[in-house]
Amino acid sequence: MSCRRLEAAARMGAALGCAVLLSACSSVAGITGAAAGIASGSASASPAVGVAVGIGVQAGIDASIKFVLRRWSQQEQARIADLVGGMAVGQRGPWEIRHAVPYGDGQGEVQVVRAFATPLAECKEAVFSVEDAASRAAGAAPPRFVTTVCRGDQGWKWAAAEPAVARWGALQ
Amino acid sequence: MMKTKQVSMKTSVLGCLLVACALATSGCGSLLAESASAGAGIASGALANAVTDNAGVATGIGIGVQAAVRSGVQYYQRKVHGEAQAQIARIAGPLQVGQVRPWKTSLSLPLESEEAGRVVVSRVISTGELDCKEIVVSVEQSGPGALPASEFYVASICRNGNRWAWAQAEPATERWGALQ
Repeated sequence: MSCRRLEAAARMGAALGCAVLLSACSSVAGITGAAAGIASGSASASPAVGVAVGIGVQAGIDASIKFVLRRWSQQEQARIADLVGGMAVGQRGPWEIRHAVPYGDGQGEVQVVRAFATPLAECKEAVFSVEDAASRAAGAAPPRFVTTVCRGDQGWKWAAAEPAVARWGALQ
Repeated sequence: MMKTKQVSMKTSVLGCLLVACALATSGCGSLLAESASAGAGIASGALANAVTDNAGVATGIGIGVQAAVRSGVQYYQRKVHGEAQAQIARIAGPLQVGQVRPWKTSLSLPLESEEAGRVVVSRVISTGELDCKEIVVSVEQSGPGALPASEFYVASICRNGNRWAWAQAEPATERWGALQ
């Protein structure tokens, strides 16, 4: 009996996980954790085991999803930095990133607006746009952002530093 | 029965603390927050189960403690990161454009690796009452060892009274995405 309940709970968890994955990746962990908690709670009849498994699974999945999404952001940053490195001030071109899994792909345009050399490193400032479905549907221009890239030992890399801690707030 | 539970809980709390310490010294911030909060949530869920048979109450206590510990860890992570930013800003503040100085962080808690590198002022953004500069920071050493290649970062600093402070604003929320 409890085995059948466990199976049903796990199936429900998997279906929920898949549905959410398509809309908002970062909230999967909580739901999967909850499903795992329900499943193990009904299997062991001990609420503490259910809570422990649920929280453990949630933390594990949270950390893995964050790792993957951060890696994708890093790949997008690397692509833009690489393009900016090869462009002259005023030059403009398209950028595009395609991941192995068709999620989190991005594209737009990038333009170098300033180049500056310091005794430490050579850097460039660029404006890039990110095409998104919402602004395309509204017929509006895609959002634009400014960033800085610098040339290190391993080529051009994204160099925008982290925000001041006082401005961190609820972002993390 | 009760005694066994208490003993196993003590062991799990001790285990969590050991894992948290190991992660802290390796400077793995996000894993530290996840593991410490999950560990505390699990331990308190087990404790709650020892005093109540109500699964809902036990779960509530477990999740509540998990949330409190996570925000506590993140508070201290931000505190030590703020110290590192203040130390770099203090060194870079009085420099002229093109002037290079070494920097080294010294943190009050071992939640991040202590780092060292050099800093140069690349531009004066504004002067007068709004005194701000753009700096390029290299990170050449992290923890006990030198990094295989230096990393460069660009940030802004501004003078608040006599004190120079990190002034880089947060990323646009649209670009924050998976970074939280």
